Amino acid sequence: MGAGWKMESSIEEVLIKVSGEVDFTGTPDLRNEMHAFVKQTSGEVRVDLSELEYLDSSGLASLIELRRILDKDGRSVKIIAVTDQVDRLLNLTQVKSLFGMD
Amino acid sequence: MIGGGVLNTQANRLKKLIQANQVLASIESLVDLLPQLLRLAQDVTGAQASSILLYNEDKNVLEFAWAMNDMLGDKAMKNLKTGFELPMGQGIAGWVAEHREALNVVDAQNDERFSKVADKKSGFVTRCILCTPIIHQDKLLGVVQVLNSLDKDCFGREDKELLESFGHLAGVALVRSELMLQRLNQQKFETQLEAASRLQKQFNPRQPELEGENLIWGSSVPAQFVGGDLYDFIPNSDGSWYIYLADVSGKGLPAALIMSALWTRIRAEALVERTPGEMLKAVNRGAYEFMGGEVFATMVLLRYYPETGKCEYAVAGHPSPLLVSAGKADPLERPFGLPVGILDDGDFGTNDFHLDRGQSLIIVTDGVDEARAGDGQFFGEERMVETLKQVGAPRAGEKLLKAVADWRGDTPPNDDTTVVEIFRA
Repeated sequence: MGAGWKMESSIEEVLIKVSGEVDFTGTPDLRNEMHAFVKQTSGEVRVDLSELEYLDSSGLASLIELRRILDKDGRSVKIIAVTDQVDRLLNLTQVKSLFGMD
Repeated sequence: MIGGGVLNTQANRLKKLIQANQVLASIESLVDLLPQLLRLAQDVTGAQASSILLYNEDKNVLEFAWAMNDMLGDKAMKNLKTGFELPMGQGIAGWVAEHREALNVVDAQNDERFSKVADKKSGFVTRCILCTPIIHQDKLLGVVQVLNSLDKDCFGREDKELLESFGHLAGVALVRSELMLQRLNQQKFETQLEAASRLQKQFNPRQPELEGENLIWGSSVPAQFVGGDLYDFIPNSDGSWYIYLADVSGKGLPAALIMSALWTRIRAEALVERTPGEMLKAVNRGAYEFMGGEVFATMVLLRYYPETGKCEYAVAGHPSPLLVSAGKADPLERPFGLPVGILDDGDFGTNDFHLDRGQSLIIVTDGVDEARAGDGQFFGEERMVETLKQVGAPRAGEKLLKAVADWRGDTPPNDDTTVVEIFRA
């Protein structure tokens, strides 16, 4: 399943945009890319999920893990845009407050 | 009549190649394959000795895999077979591997590419060598070489063509045996998974024996052999039951390992009889340690009193339980709680409600509403609620699973699917 995902990032803006579909098959690679990105940046990481059509629990876990890693350095993650599917998952799991939403 | 002898030889050789192909096709393992390959290579070219070197892509070297020599004793052969690596480009075999073309060396001792190391080790005198690369779908697998023609001074053009053809056969045979090896490993792995799957089913609790039609029931089916969904019924000293359903993020083995750790943790925490919110707080603290920040679990935890219908509950980022009776399926209000394993010290609220007679409480994991039909369409939350309204209580859980299975049809489940039902008669 899944057409796969794509990650674009801007180091200057400390911004990640993940689009496509993220399920447990795609999560390990996404995780590595995100971890590599945060090493090159400082301060709050903003995440744009406005074109992420599908996110499963393992993908969400990778975002939560990212938050935990950044939190240790006094940094944070802010999700700046979501699709309906992602919004539903974030509501269901009640984790919006972790990502500076609502 | 001049060509008669040539034709005859060609026919013979073709026959030998066909025979070689038949023999190779019947061999089932790499260990049997290599000696057979060399025996056939020697037979089709009429050679005294032969060897096969396999290409090690990581190290970019040729490795001696097998040698055969009809002229030498076992001891000399042993010297040849053990630990012999040849860098690309070195020796005749290295040259053939690098250039990916067959080579017929008619006077080995006076050819500058020839390496005398093997001769020195074995005491054999190489007169001439015919060597061809083994290539399959443009990938170099190794080289096979034959030494010293039995009935001629050196190998001829036809021998070379024959060995080249043989190289192709050998390539197919090598790839096939490699695939067989992989399949064998795959089978071993699946056997282990099946055992793990049987073990995981033991985590499913027995259905409590309640009076009359009263029901505490659950069913969990992993998408793969094992899964990360979990439910349990734990009796308390005051006649109440801890009933929970948990969904570990991710799937398969990693989720199953976390799931079994979580099961143990919850059983241990249940010994202290607390409100669901307090218990989740304690469970979360433990889960945070073993989940390592990579995974989390969503949960609904109830403390249910079958006598009175009283029910306290806490939720950790899980979909709301649904209260079901004829024509109705309403979600319970969720007290706040993050999934367990995310924060080291989370707080979980406790709500309560009363399960009336004739009502069922249904808790599901997302494998239910995210079940996909053949066309990719989700079963969906709305359809789930509609189904529950229609079927009513009791046995709403079973009927819901049936509806999900019908929806899915032949499509394999994409997530672990679990339903828990509490019915009060």
